[in-house]
Amino acid sequence: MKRIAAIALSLSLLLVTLAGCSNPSGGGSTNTPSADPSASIPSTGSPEGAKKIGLVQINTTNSYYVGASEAFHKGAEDFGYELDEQFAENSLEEEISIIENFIELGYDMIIADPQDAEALEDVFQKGRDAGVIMVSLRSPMANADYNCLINHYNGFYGSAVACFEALGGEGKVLLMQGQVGHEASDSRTEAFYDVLELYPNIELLDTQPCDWDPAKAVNIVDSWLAKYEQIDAILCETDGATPAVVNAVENAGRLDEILIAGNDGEKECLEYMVDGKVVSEAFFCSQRDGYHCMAYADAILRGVEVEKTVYLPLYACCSEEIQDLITANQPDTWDIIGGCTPEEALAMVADYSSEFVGMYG
Amino acid sequence: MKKSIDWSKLILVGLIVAMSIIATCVNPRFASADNLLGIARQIAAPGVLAIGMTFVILTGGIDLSAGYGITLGAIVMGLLFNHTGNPWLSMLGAVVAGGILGLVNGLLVSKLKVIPFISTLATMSIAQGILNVIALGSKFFLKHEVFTTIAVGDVFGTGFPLCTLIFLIVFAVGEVILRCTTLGRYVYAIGSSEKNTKLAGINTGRYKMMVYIICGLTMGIAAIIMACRISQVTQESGGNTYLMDCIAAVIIGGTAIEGGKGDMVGTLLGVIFLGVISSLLVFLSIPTIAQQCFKGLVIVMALLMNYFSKRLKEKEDVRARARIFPQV
Repeated sequence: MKRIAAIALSLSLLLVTLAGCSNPSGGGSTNTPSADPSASIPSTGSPEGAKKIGLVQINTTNSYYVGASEAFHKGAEDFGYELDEQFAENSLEEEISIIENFIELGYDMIIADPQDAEALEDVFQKGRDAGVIMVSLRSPMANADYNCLINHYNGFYGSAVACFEALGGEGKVLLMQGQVGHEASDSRTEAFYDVLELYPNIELLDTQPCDWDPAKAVNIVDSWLAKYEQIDAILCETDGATPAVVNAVENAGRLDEILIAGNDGEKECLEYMVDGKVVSEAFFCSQRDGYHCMAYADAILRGVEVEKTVYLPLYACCSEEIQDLITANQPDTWDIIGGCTPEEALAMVADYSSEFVGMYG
Repeated sequence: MKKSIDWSKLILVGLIVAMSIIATCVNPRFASADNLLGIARQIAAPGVLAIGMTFVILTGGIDLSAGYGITLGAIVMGLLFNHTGNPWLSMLGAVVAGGILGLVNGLLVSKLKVIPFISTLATMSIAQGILNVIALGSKFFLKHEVFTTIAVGDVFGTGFPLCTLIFLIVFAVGEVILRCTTLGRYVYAIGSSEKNTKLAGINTGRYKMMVYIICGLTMGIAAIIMACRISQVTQESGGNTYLMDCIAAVIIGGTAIEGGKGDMVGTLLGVIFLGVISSLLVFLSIPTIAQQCFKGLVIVMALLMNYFSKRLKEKEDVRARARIFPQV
């Protein structure tokens, strides 16, 4: 009896494991484009003779990649491509294997978000040698045919300038980093320090990395709130942590005295901006990122002459009053980033495709 | 026979006091009520998990699925709240999810006799897989008065955090179970020698299953506290950071990794110790990336302390025996 129970238990565990690891769309790794778990996964349009694109993103656990995935699939459907999306689940070896498989499958284009640009050089070259168009997503690669990037430096630069202008150019601030050693986080930190030099009356009290973990961010903010009597602003390098930071400050009853700036421009944080809880954002938004890349890929596959490296248009999202202050005091900011209000940003999130249709010809 | 002194706990209390004094000298606000209550809130979720883990480690086992168990509980809570809007149902779901994971761990360890390290490693992967299916990378916001009360509310206006009270209640229940129940006695017996306990006619499988279920239930409760504090849950909430913290707290508190020795008071002190370190590092403006290295070193020191404490106790026992039987 015990043996039967043991066998039954082992089989059911095996089934659960297989169910958990299987891809519901049958294409290999988990393919999860929708931010709403109850929505069905959209299928890519696959007309006869449609060109095939392989897409590799880093993982399925980060809501940014999932948001971008939704837009990639929408873009593939709109532009008429067959999209095969795989996730490397934070494994560099897995990412290399997936790209090699795509090359073997004879895809017309491979778009990959490299976890390590140097480590992927060989496989990118292999793809180019096989006649596949290799596109590097978000991080530049010297031997990619094309690069579709996000300028993390410019984005956080804009958010930091907007925040410091809202402070009137003086005050005591804290920086919540994403993860030290991570390319995006390091770029944002570099931008922060460059902006800090423009404002001699802004004092940096402390910086701490939250490792993209909102629970860690809350603990750090709790300690900061206890440690410092006066805090005028907290700048967060990731909107993964921004809502948690807002709540921690609000729960401590100090939201009226502390401004909060974020990065990513996720919908929840834009709504916080409308409510006055967040003062500025580096607005790019995961769905815009995905659709922009698909629009770029479409232009390349149609043979349109495009720049080898393009950047997702970014905006320093802040109120019109703060935008006026930036124009008056730091007009050079508008040379590297655009400006938009939270309401405009929310409109762009709601309709993230129109902005990019026809952008590259 | 004179009761021997528990040096490891004394040293731990001394370290906590010493670190607090150092931190207060660097910045007097460390000793402020705000900061101390903040530390109390921060230790609530890992503390609850550490109580459950103490039971498991006392039996000589380990539960590596605990970190992702918290994530699973939090995601189930988020999903249920997203669909029903009912905070109580969603919290119940978190506890049930944790309990089911604990039950699976218990069945694997007690019925299939898989060694805990391997079985809980497998269930950790299963939990991750289930998260991929049910969460789909989504973020769930937990906006409700009940969640806010748990996160920042206090007990009858005293200022004492409600989430810390939940932790202390779990601690008290754990202490009562260990000290005053048959389960508690058998947990120590199994940890000391499972073979002899079995030979004594005790159904060790049943009690091992119970401890893993207890650990699973504490995962669910810890998930509730964590989710309420951050007011959002994603697949990246919880995870192995919580696992590392709770194992560290249990070992630092004097529970032997091989089982059979330890108690809840030690775990409580271990949790407080880690909470004070985390706050101290921020007050000293040391990056939190140093914390992992620091915690690893502290675990090694705690293991050394356990070793020397054991040696001291053995010497005291020998001296005591020599006094009673001087001619032997």
